[in-house]
Amino acid sequence: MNGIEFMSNRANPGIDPFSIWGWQIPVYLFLGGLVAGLMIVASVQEYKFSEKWEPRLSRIVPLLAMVLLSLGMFSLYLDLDIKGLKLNVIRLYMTFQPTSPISWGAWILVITYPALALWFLAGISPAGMNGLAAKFRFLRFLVPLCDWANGIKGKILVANTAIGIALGIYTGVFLSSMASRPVWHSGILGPLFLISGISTGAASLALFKVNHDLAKSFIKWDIFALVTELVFLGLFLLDNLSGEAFHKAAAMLFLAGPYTGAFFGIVVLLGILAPLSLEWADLTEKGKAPVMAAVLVLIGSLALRCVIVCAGQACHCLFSGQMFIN
Amino acid sequence: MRPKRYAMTMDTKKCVGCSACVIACKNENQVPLNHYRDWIEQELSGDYPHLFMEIRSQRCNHCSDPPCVGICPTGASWKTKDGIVLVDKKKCIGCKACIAACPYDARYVHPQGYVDKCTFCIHRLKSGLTPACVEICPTASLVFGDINDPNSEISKVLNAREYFVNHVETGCKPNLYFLK
Repeated sequence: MNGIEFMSNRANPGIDPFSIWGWQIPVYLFLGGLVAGLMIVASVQEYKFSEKWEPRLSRIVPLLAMVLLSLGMFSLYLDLDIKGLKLNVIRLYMTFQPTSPISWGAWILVITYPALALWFLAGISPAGMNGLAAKFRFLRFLVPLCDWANGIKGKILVANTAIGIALGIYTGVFLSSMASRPVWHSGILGPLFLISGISTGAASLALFKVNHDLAKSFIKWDIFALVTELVFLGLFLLDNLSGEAFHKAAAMLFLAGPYTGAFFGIVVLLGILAPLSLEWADLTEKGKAPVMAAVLVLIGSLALRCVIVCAGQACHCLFSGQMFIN
Repeated sequence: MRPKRYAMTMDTKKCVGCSACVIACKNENQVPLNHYRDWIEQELSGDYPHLFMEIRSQRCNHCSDPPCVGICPTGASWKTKDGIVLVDKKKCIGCKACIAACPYDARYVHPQGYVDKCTFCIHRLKSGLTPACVEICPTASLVFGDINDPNSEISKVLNAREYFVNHVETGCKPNLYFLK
């Protein structure tokens, strides 16, 4: 069989053509990855290399992460289709469905907040908290909590690293669990989104005015993450190319299809190779453009999620083993 | 005695694509305007003069291992003990993960916000009737029944004819059989 002509009288909104998820889901996945990256890079840096660490970051980073996570969850909330019954979302937390990555993700997000809050409290010295409580009496209940958090600071940092890893992987597994969409159904997507999140976290941290050694550490983190991301992107394409017909067709969407320009132009060139060269120049003292590098990394990371989410929705498998694109 | 497992066969040699099944479903289930629980697909393949056309009446495949049920974060998508995949609209939060997970694109968002799909006309089954699409089909290309009952019409048809199912690669074990 060579030529194929396919017709269907189905015309369901959002299905024909398939476009159930708009900008909200890539933004949610991007912000989730960014928060994961902030948690992993900052907590590992504070735990393992405390001599370089700047204590004010222990207060700024958790607060920033909580704000970004809330924005991400709001974005997901905007995507929900239950009209007039948006409070139905509470049902996510009235059950735990072990086979559903979204259910896992919902609960990971819930434990992320207290972990970040404890990290923030551990960043305030007991004396400092006593001073605050003296000024603002309603904060008195935080004094014992702050003492406790300071006592177990190491464990809090380990917990934040672990939760960050789970959150970062979840943003990829959210999509890769769907065998129905060949573009998404790849085991590489979880590690790919995790490393991309670590890259955005490190790039964002490099924007803070910190001591020279710490700034270099953040740049090293990002260089490592960007190189690894490049390897994972190659593996993602190879994984699809070595699969069955549907997966080969999925790879061709990026290699010679409607997403080739966005994938290689924005994700690979602008989002990985350009910041990589800028950061390498910074590390070797040949140039300095930390803001530009960070902005490019953030753009590339958001573009990666947009391209993957859109490409996954655009391809449909036909029974004859062929695939058509919206 | 084995529990019931409802399934449907669709005879690709008999279907003429008249869309009576689509209209019957819309009437029976009050499917909203511009939304479809079942539909007709037509695939033309080959090169002239060796052309081959297949017409298929499509719907939810009520899979034995439905990915839409596994991915649902609230338990709104569920499967009856008879194997019918349903949506509890009170539990649905409209996240659309089930729509993305379905290899057949058989689900859609109802204008009221919850996800909707074919139910094999479960309300008719409770009254001893067959699904509306099966009853209306003028060429009798649709057969519905319990494939765990060796004496059912569907079991006999499946024993007598060659058939195929769609998207076996997803591992969802569909229960909509297409007779060759």
